[in-house]
Amino acid sequence: MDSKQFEIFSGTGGVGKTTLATARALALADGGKKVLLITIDPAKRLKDLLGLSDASSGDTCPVEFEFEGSSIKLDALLMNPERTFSKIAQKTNQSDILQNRILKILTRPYGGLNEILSVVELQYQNESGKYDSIILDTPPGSHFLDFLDSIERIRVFFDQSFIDIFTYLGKKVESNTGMNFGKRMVTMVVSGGVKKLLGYLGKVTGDKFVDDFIEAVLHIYSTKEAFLGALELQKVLRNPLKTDWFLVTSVEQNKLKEALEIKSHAKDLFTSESSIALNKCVNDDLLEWQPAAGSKEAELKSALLNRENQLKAGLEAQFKNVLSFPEVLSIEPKEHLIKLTKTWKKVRI
Amino acid sequence: MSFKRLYIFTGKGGVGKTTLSLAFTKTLQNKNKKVKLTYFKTSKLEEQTIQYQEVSDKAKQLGVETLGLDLMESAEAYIGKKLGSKTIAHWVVKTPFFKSLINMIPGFNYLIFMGQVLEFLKADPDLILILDSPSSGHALTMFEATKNFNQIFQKGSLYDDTTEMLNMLKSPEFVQLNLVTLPAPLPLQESQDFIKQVKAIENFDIKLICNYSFQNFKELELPNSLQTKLKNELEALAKNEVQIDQFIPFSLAQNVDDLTKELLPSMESLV
Repeated sequence: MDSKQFEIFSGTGGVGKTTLATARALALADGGKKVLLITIDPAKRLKDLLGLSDASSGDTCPVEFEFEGSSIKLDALLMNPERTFSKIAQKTNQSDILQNRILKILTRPYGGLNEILSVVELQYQNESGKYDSIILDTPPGSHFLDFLDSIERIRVFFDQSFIDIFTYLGKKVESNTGMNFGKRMVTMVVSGGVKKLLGYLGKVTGDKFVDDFIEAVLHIYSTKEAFLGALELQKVLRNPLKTDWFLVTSVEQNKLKEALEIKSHAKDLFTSESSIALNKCVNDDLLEWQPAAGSKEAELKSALLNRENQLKAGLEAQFKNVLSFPEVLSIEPKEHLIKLTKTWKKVRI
Repeated sequence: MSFKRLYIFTGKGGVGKTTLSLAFTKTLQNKNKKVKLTYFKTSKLEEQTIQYQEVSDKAKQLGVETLGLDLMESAEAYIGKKLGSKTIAHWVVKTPFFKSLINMIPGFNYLIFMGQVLEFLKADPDLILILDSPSSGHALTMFEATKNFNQIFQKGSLYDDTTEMLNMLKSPEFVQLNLVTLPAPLPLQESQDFIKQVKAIENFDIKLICNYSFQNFKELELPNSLQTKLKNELEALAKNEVQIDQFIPFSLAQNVDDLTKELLPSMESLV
């Protein structure tokens, strides 16, 4: 199956999406492509297997993986919002932003800015021009929708919120960002909404928060180039010639509705041509199994097969290609990667 | 028998949180408790409710009461209470600035939701809530949000509120976290990591539930792949280092009524 500039894996959560994305990256790298795998939150054992450590998170690391007697090489990056934020500070020459109390807290791993910062990171890696393909493993379930929406949120945030503030302040603020601007700004902003809003905010949070908050907002504004640059990415991500979106789900969980909801929410990305990867399908020996009619065994077989067939039928009605991946029965993550990489290499569309 | 006020079901996607939350709510309801299955209908302002129709349908089928929280309504109620005016609150949540502030900082959502959950519990001392929480990453955002915002607002009434929330959440008499996992190495490892991360935030009372266990089929004559599955489960459990409070067998039930009936006995030990 041909590779694209970006291949984005989303899924219903707990379906082996990260392993499947990693296997895809390995299959492409084995075919001679220069590949970067960006992953958000892999299990520790997968990290160990790829030689990724938390200490190096946020930067690309070379990975080597033994496969069919040779060594596959690719780059991998473990998302680290703090690190991406410091790259933004560096590129925009705004090291002050790293000192703001509120921004420090919000860029912690679960601080809430992960999705937006992964879009920025993706854009930085894209700009480097080093890779034929970037494989992105997105957060599970509705968190993935946050990822999609974060692009739109960036636009709305810089458009509307700042228009409120900066139309009034104009160039005065632009030339003074990073200063202790809080108090002055509150007195300056008379344009209805914002002043009133900050007044109410001060009532319940105390003035110190309002000052820090305004400083945080100004800091973010001073780095707006970095965020707006990420908007460029949107065009590429929506171009089916450049980007493939894979939706991953698994037989283990009956998440047909959730998969279809993700598809319908992102309808301009998942077109009628899109593929869905169905993971953990039953192995052939279960199909060949002939338990006696009416036995407990027969009941188990039919429960397992019903589950899979119902899901497949539902998916086939909505997706052009349903790619089946077998359940890998090994407790070694390495075995999972090897078998799934082999399956990827056989996929034909 | 003493009950907690809030039971939070958490775990990775696809481990069966919703099904177990439903069965657990039903169990308490059978004991004549005033109990509601709580879930977040939306996670963003003005988001259409798409995700949770299935939950409320199943709950209806089982006769379980639900409390679906909408972000916009929750934010308005909370701000209204803080400022002592519904009119101002209504205006505040409608400003583009407030909307984009909340949308840029997802952790803020959870602060509002948790605030609302605790308000409901304070308002009615007999009420018990079962929270079907978003998958692990989200649950951490949810707990950490409370702590982060507590550090952000160092004083003032939001600071007092988040302090109160933290005190409630960390009280083992008040909250129990039911972490759902699967009997395989990766999920067990992840649960162990999750427990560590959560304990680093506060010393929560955590029960670990292992769902979809294949051990009940031990006596059957299975084909190779299922034998391996069972063998892997037993090996993973042998190496597992965290205590599992309850095993739930893989169910052959084909509908939600039968499934819930099957689950009720296992739920007793979690009460």
